[in-house]
Amino acid sequence: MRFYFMGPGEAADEGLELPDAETALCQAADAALSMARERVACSTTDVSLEVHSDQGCVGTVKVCVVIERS
Amino acid sequence: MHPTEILIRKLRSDTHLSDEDAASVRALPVHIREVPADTTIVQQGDHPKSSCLIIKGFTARAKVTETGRRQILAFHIPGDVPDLQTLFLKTMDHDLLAISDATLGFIDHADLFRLIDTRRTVARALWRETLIDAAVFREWIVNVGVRDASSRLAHLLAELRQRLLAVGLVADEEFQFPVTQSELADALGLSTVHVNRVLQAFRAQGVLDIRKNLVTLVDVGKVLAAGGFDPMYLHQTSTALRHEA
Repeated sequence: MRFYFMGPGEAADEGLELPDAETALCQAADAALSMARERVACSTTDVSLEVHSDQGCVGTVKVCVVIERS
Repeated sequence: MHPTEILIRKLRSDTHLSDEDAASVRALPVHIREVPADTTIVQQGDHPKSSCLIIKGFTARAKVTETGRRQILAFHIPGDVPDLQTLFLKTMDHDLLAISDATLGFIDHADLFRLIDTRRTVARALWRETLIDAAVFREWIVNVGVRDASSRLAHLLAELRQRLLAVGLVADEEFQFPVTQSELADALGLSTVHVNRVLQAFRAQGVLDIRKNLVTLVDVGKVLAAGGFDPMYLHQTSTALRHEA
């Protein structure tokens, strides 16, 4: 199945062939985690990715980094 | 073209080989084998009796962890002999596989030993190749260890362009590189989705594109800058190549 991974407000570009929606969501979560790690030095805003198949949205993943200063 | 011509061309780009040296390389018996993409050429644990010259196509070296995850360690291009180390290190400690349909030339170790025992300059040139191989591994550790995702991809493609230039396989900032996003992910220590996102961003910014096995560096300057690419570690001594970077 083909899946598309989009940030907020982005249009679908070329997608990826993956076996099923569960794999697509897990891979999206992995990508969101490393995207959050890369940007943490300058921003802790949430990273979210929507996962779509040709049938529509199959889910969303979100990574939040919270720094609580004491 | 004789199967060893691409090796001679590559060695000559950095070492002065006499006509006699080149003739002795050309005289090596080469067993040609055509392999389809995804063929494992040599496997971890094997004890190969020959080394493999890539005449056409692309290969990768990889290791698989105990949990089944694969790390691609290097990509190899025509002119490379990716398992040259088996001349002295008898057991393969990683896998070598074709990532595209490939034409390979297998050269018996006995013939290679005869060559390096009789042609000192060729021996030095091959030794130099293995040292550059190690330099590329060092650069890949830096790439995967400390660069962000877009820099990793840009650096990898800048390196491939630079190496392919040495064997005349780049035209108008385009080159063949039949790699899947999954293989790129395994080489860059990223998820396939992250590679997909980075490629989309580069495409949208007009920096580079990969479609149908063809890499197009739309804006080479931006690719080199994004990857923080300095070709010094490739130790290419040809003036023309240094000016290409």
